Amino acid sequence: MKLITIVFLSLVTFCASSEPLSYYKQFFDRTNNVTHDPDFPEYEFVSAKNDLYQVAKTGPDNAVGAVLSFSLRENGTYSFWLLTIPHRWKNEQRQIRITKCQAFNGHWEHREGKLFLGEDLILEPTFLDGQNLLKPTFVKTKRPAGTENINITINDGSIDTIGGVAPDSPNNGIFKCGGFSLPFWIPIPNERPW
Amino acid sequence: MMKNLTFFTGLSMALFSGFFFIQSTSANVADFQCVTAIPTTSIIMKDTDGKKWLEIIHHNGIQFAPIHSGTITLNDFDFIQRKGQLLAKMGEMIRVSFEPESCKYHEAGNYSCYKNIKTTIGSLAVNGYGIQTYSSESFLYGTSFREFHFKFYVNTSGRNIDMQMNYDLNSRDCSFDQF
Repeated sequence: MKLITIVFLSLVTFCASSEPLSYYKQFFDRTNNVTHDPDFPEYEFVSAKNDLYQVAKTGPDNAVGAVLSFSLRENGTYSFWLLTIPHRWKNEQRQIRITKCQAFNGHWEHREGKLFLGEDLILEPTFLDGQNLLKPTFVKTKRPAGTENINITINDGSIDTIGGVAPDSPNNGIFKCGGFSLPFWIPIPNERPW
Repeated sequence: MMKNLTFFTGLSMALFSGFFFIQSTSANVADFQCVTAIPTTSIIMKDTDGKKWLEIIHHNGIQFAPIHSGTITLNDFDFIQRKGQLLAKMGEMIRVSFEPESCKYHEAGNYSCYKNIKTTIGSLAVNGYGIQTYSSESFLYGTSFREFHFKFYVNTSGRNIDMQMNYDLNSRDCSFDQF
């Protein structure tokens, strides 16, 4: 009985972390038809990203947020960028520091049921709240300090331009980080929900 | 060309008149901060040492600074490009001050400040600068969308040019301190 349970659990674990390429294709860049009226066709661009940037407490008055946004393409290339936003509370005022985002570009490879983004990141399937999602493992790309306890999951959603990069930009979709880091803290609304 | 000139002159006159003839009656302009969820262009207005200090930060670089808001026609591209080149001279971070008495509170979300001074912002020589803000609410399919509109304008070579940024109040992009 014990042996059967172990075999079953191993099988479940294997299935949960190993998927054919077709699974990953649902997160590839694509254009969705969102037409409500057949006389007026409408489309939206969709790419993989984590839903909203999530903020994790790192101390009594500190927190850190992380944002990941992707362009995974049928032609075998990928781009993603990572933005971390440190938070603090001072005199009951919520503040953030702006750091420069990091952009990564390269060729993805599907093996062992996972999607390897160069040596930067490994994407594995995960299932949460009835949704197919991706779970990133940071390899050469360092996971932002303080976010170890954040369960970062990636789904897909409509996207235009965020963080200074446009996934469907004419620059062959290559992500670049513009901008700069700020050496000081800037206030944001305390009421912001994330 | 003539149409461009008319548009340019009209815009300049409209802003120019507001720029030099706003009469301040109140210094009760609240401190406010606006930062989009994923930072793009932020504005911070705060009291320091008896002055109102305004900071405008284009986090993703000057190429991503907002340079126009409103209806655009093909005929406007040349004007907008020239305007963008002038605005870009001010750089990724702008820091200017106003005397409190040159700021006016009109109603909630509606403020204005101005300063007549020959100075340089970044590498742009200006004769003065100012802000105008207002808030608005619109409805789409029964859902209310509230926005805060911020306009920074400078007078350079005798004409006014402006950059405008709109913030989503539903997403709590802005906070307004009590005053």
